[in-house]
Amino acid sequence: MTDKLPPIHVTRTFEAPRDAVFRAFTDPSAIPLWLGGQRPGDTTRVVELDLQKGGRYVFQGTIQGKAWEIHGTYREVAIPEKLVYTWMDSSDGHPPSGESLVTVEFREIGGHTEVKVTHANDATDSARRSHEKGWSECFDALARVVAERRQE
Amino acid sequence: MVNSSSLDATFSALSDPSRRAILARLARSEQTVGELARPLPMSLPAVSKHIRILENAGLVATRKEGRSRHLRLVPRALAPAQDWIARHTAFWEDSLDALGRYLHATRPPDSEAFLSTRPVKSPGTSRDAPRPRAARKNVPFPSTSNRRTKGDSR
Repeated sequence: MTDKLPPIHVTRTFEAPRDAVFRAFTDPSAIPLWLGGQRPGDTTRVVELDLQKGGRYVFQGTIQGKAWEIHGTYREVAIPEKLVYTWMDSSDGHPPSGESLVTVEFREIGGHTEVKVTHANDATDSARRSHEKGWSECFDALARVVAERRQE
Repeated sequence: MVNSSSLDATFSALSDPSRRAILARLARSEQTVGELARPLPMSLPAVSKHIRILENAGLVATRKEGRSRHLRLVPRALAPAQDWIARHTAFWEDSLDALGRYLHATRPPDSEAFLSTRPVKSPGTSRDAPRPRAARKNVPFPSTSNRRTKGDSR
């Protein structure tokens, strides 16, 4: 088996020093204020967070009244540069889709901090190899077909 | 209908470049096994094996017409994979947007450490801060709606 789905990349630049961004990303009291749903009534709770290689984390919450949970294990903790952790999620109405892998890189750029999240569908390293371009072109083509056929 | 193992089967089936090439061609039109195999740099048995995996994942359906097997794409089977991408992308975009608001709202008043000179617009926690994209649907993770990827009009 080769790579699975192409990984997701989401990047943001924050007007804050890297230490502060990393802290917000990993501080159990800060996480509920940004991770998950942030609408009135939504909740996010840090049940467990052991920020070290091999340490576990468990987050639970509700969004629009539905319960969810994310848990996993830290594979790499390089303060304040990088986090790599496994990710299992489940929620009402969505069965778990297997273990995936999240890599978060914190780069300092002129006093600002760029955060790049890579979420690979497969937690094995092979998932992160790069057939990505061919994949996304193929997937785009397929998505168009799906849309067209559904209109029929 | 969609369970964890069918999702895995979809992802596994999609994981191979040859199978993606086959799907991309079937996305254009129905083809017989022979038509499909002709331009591919592999033996007919190898092509048949890929087709079997795609069939088992529900991505491809076959029908017999005389002596030839006709293959067609089953677009519906791609929905779980698209859904995974859409939900997790939305989750991270929403969360990182909220992280930005949190960092902005919690920066120290003596902002020597913060190079930005932009003033804090509203005090309070990030929960009180306005969302930058008001029109956006509330679909952070895990999605509770039937969120679909762009272009999917169902």
